[in-house]
Amino acid sequence: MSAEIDEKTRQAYWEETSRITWIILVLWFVSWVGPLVLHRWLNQVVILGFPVSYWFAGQGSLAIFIVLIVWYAVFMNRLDRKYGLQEDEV
Amino acid sequence: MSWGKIFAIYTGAFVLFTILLALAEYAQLIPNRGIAYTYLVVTIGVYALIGILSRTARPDQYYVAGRGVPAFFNGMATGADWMSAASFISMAGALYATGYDGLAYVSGWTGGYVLLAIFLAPFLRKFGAYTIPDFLALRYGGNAARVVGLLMAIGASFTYLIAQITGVGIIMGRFLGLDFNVGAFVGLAGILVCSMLGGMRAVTWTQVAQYIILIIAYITPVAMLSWKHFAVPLPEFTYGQVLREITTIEQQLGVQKLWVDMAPGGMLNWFALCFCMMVGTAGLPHILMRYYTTPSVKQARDSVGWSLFFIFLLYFTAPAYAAFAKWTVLTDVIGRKVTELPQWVSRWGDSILGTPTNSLGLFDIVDKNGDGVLQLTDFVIKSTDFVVLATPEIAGLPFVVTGLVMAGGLAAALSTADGLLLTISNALSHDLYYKIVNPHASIVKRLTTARILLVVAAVAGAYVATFRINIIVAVVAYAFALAGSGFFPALVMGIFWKRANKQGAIAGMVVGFLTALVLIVLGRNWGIYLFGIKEIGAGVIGVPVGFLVIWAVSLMYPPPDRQTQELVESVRYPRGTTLKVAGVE
Repeated sequence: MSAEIDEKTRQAYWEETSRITWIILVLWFVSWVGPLVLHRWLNQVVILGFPVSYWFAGQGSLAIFIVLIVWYAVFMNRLDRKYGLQEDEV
Repeated sequence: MSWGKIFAIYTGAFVLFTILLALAEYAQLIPNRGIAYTYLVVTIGVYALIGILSRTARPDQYYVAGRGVPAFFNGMATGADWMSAASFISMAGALYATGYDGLAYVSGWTGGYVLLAIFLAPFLRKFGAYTIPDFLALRYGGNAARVVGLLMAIGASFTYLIAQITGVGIIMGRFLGLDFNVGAFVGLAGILVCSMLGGMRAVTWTQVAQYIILIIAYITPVAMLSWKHFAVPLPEFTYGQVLREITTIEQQLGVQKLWVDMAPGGMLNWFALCFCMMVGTAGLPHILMRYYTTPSVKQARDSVGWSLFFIFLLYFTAPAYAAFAKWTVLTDVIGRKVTELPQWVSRWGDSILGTPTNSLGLFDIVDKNGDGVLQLTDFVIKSTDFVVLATPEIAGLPFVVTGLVMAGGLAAALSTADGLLLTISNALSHDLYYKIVNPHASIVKRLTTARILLVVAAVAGAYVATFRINIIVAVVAYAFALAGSGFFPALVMGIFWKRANKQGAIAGMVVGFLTALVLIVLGRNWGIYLFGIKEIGAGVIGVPVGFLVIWAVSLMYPPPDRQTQELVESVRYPRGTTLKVAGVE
């Protein structure tokens, strides 16, 4: 067990982890439910031939998903170092 | 030599090989069937070679590839593991048939990776076991949770496996004219040589090799089609033009529901289907298992990003496939005289001019009102698979590209089958045999058992596939609802809520799974839908039910013991050790 890490550090780390988890969860939800719910209006808008809602469901949301995952990874890898909770280099 | 260099050379060699075959075809040195067989023999030969070179006698290599797979390559392997025969051959066709409504699959089969990234992958890596039931057993104290987990893992994976073997049989039948059963067993042999000797280690590197082939094969034909029409080989961006044309033609023809629009009142079911596919993705054991194989928690996080990137390359191309095919049918087939149909039509479909001997019968061309001109309803689709399969010929490309598509489809089906087979045999050999039946088994005995069970599971899968049960294809879609409702809540609560206990988790897994199952049976057999949600999206109800039951039942029983709470603590922080599962290195 991580006995060498004090309770306070762990709590602060986990609070920040929970916060980013919630933020990403909400953005994830909005990124695919938003274009769906607004479908009737967004699909009237056509950019470069793409009806906007159609484009999101087929491509745009997917790109956002990647961005969210990369953001999470970068944020968390930094958070580990900030609290000294990173793994030892192998 | 580094892995990067090896696979760069491999990719170059494969491209060169394809070019040589194209030259041979151009010089008329090789008939079409010869090209197809060359692809078959060479690709399966390469997979087998990787399988044999990766053989191992160490359990950590066999079960989790020695936890030495870099994030980038684990991403590729996950991509191949994830993208099945259905993604490769059928998804674009489903989009062709349904337009906007089918996009629920595209969003759904990618969005699940966000859930995987923030809720599961890094924590499972820190936990560092061999199987998903391992986690359930240690977190929820004992073999009851393990048994529930292993039954669900086997149930979901086995139906999925049969669908892959069916896919292999169909592909070989279409391209090589092999009998379905022969094709299925040839495919089976291909799967076994990849996985039997080297377990996860062999499957991982084979999947990387398979990913490279499948992505080249998927993108090439439609890129060339885009090149032909727009002089830009990026169909993902040019198909906006195509969508515009489709809408214009549809309006001229007086089509009520435009292809790019949702079916009226379809929003709730679109949501349910998409949600269900996402949570199911994050609950399928053969995908979760892949994140045990990275060297660190950090790399597990990075690896989810790479996974989705490699999956994205195919999925964001699929809508372009569908659009180009739709456009071609609307412009080249509809409105034409029956006697002036383009050539590809005769190879892939039956027409009123008669069925050519080499036709594959994926669609019918009829002339309902007998005016000699084709109307929209005269093009009767029997299998939308024609979208991916016929695109090379629609684009006027040589047969070698069709052979390439065959090799890609085969790679997609085989790689997924490898991962599934390993999940099934590991659940049987590690969770059932070693953890429950014979905890004192030696390493040699454990690995021998694992290999025997792998062969047994593979043969059983191929045997069941030969019955060609139609329901299987539908069952695969249901596997997402079942895996999502059964696994996902218990795994997430196990990490994010210390108070979750054994009683709650077991009740939640069983009730969540059964809720989805009952909704599927009711919907499928009697057309009874709760809130009007079709059975394929049953997970949208099953998942919240699973979470609620775990919460409520956990509160009725005492909190888990100190040791378990410390285990939960330890998986949350990358530094430090975790409790060890006996027999797991």
